[in-house]
Amino acid sequence: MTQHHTPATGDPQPTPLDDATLESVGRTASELLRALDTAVIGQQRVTLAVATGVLARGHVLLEGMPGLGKTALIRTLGEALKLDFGRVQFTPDLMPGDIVGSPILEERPGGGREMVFREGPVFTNILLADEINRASPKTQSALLEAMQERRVTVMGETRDLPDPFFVLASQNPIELEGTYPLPEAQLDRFMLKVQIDMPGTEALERIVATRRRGEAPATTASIDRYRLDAVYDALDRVILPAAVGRYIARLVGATHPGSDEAPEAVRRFVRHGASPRAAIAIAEAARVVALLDRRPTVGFEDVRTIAPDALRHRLVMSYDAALERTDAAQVIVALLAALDEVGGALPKGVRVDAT
Amino acid sequence: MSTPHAQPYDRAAVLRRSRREIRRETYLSESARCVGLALAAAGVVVIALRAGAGVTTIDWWWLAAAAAVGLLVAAARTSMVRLDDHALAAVLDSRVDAGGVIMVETPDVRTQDALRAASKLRVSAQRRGEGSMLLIGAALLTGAVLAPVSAAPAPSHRLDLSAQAEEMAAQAEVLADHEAIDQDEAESFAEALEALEDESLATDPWSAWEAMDAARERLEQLAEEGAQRVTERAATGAALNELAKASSDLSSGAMRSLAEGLDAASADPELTASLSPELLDSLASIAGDMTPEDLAAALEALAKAGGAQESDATSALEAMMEAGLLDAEALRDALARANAARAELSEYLEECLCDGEGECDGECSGKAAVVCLRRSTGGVSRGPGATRMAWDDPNADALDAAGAAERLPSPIPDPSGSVRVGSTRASGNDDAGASSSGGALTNADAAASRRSAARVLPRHREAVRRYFEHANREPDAPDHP
Repeated sequence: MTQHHTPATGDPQPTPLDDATLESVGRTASELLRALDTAVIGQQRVTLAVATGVLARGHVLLEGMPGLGKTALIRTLGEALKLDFGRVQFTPDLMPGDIVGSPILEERPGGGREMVFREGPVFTNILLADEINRASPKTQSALLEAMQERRVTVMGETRDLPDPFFVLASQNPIELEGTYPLPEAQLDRFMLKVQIDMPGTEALERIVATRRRGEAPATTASIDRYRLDAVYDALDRVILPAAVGRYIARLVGATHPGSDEAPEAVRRFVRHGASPRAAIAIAEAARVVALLDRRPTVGFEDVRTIAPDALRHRLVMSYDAALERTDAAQVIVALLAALDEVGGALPKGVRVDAT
Repeated sequence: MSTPHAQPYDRAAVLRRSRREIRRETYLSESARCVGLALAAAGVVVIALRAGAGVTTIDWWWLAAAAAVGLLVAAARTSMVRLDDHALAAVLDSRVDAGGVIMVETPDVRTQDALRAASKLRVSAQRRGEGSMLLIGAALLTGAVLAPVSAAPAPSHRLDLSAQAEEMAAQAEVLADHEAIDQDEAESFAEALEALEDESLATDPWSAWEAMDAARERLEQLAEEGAQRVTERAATGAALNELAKASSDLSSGAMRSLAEGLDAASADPELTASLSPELLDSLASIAGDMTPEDLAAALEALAKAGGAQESDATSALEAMMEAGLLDAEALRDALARANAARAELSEYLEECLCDGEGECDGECSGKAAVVCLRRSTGGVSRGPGATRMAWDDPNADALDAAGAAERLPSPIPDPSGSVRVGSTRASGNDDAGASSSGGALTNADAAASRRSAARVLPRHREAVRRYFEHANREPDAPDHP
């Protein structure tokens, strides 16, 4: 692969994507996106975030009220990608072995018994962890290792999970009684947290008209492994300019109250900011957004598009936020508005604007 | 996708254009700031020069130089601004949401659209702060130029007496113009003042002040002597005018006596010294054998000349009063003395109305003594005759006997020989009329509004007190203690 030196960093970068490749992988990504939009009506932002997270090889946390199509979304995702799909309904009595698997004693055909490891539902490509906040922390931790390491260790024996492996978890924001909120460490494992809101009236009208018994139509998308790998390869060649990388770093740094660039909202309502893992997540997700737009480079607007979903679950809010009913989404909006994308590049007082 | 466009946009050209505009706006902002600061600094300098060094003229090129310095500094600061291509491309990319295609040099179908949009971006700058700074600087400079500032005081070690010296020289010139003092004496006084003025700028102020005080005393003395001389001249003119008028009524014998008397008077150098040339000519014409008619005509001319002399002397006294050498009371006294001489003479002549033909019983006096000058009939002897009317210093004979008057050395001390004993500055009270206390001298510098106090030795107290008494002298206060 020829090396191309970007003027931004001087570091060797992969060869920029040519138009044909862009068009090919873009078509694949758009096909997936269309499939998801068909399954879930009126949730374009959600489907974009889910598709972005999946294509960026990250885990996605879906939060929304019941009946908004989370399961249908993830099911359609699995069908479109021609990948194995598994679902786990997290309940309070769910044990870690129910997630990762457990050895059982089986009888051999020729006689005798042996311990055989029965794989858990985590051994799949796409795992839907429904209402993940209902399981005990112990069970949640079992999934944590699988999400991070993409392997499980049982009885001292480590087994790799299939590739690709995505966890699309969902949690119900209401009925918090009897639930176990995910710890920050586990939340940080999710690349994106997507908020699923109630669809609008028009979308609801279309649902009523087209969804008999709430069943989503079968998807016609067919994205095999080969095409998915091509998307992954193309994503590795999407150029992240140094200025955009610097903007991502400044953005994540500004989520900390002690940062010089932190706006007033962060100083007041955020107790702990995002980790470097958030910057990596934003960078990877921004590449997917650029690819979906048929661009070989990541732009500032790509970062602004995906940053709310990447940072929402990574900010630890203060008591003041709870008292004033300010959530992380509002803080992130204020942060994006306050932080200039090219801060410090222009002389003081000079502005460059569109006429 | 990209739209067809007529002319491809060059990334480098777009960046170059943007950089040029950014530098222009930066330079304008910096210029406003730096020129404002330069003008403010120039204002401070101007007011310091005006108040401290007494500079009164502010040339326009000073302001132009300040502005030029500001522009140069602005250019230097602008050149220090670094705008590399990467940063500039990021700015343009972010402003047009180009998606990063401007930041990389990879040609893309969207690059041209993005560059076209970037080429239409407008570079501007907010200059509220800079504008305010420019206005403040201009206002400060304008205020420094236009604000009324009193002339700078003399340096602490210098005493500027030029104003006072000029005033006294003008007064001496008035005396010389009206022949109240000799021209030589006036010139000598002016030279002494000039020397004093030059020396006062280089020596300690106390010696110069004392010398100036002595010069003022000398001037006052000259003025007094000049007033006396002019008054005598006025009295002489009045007396001769009166005498000439009265003599026209006398008989021929009396006229002859008068002629002899006038002849004797014309030969009297002291008398003629106080008379004008016109009067001397009149006397010369009267002396000698003349017919009564000639004598009458001569007397008429004498009366006229005497009146003119009186009038000139009166004008001289008035001029001396206008020059500040005489006050109104002294002028009244001088005029009264001149008129008194006329009145006395008139009364004297009336009292002794004698035609000189009859016998003198020796009882007559005054006028009779004049017309009976040639007669000495015995009886009560009144001495050799009528007392010669002397119009000058009664001690003049004694002085003449002692020889020619010797010019005394100038009472104005030479300040060049003074020794600076030190200087001190203290916050003095602005009370020019107060007498000195504790030996302190409040220097009233005519050129400054600020007064400074300096310590004066005890021997200078009298001079200081006289100065202030002279400066604030009441009309009724005597000239000398």
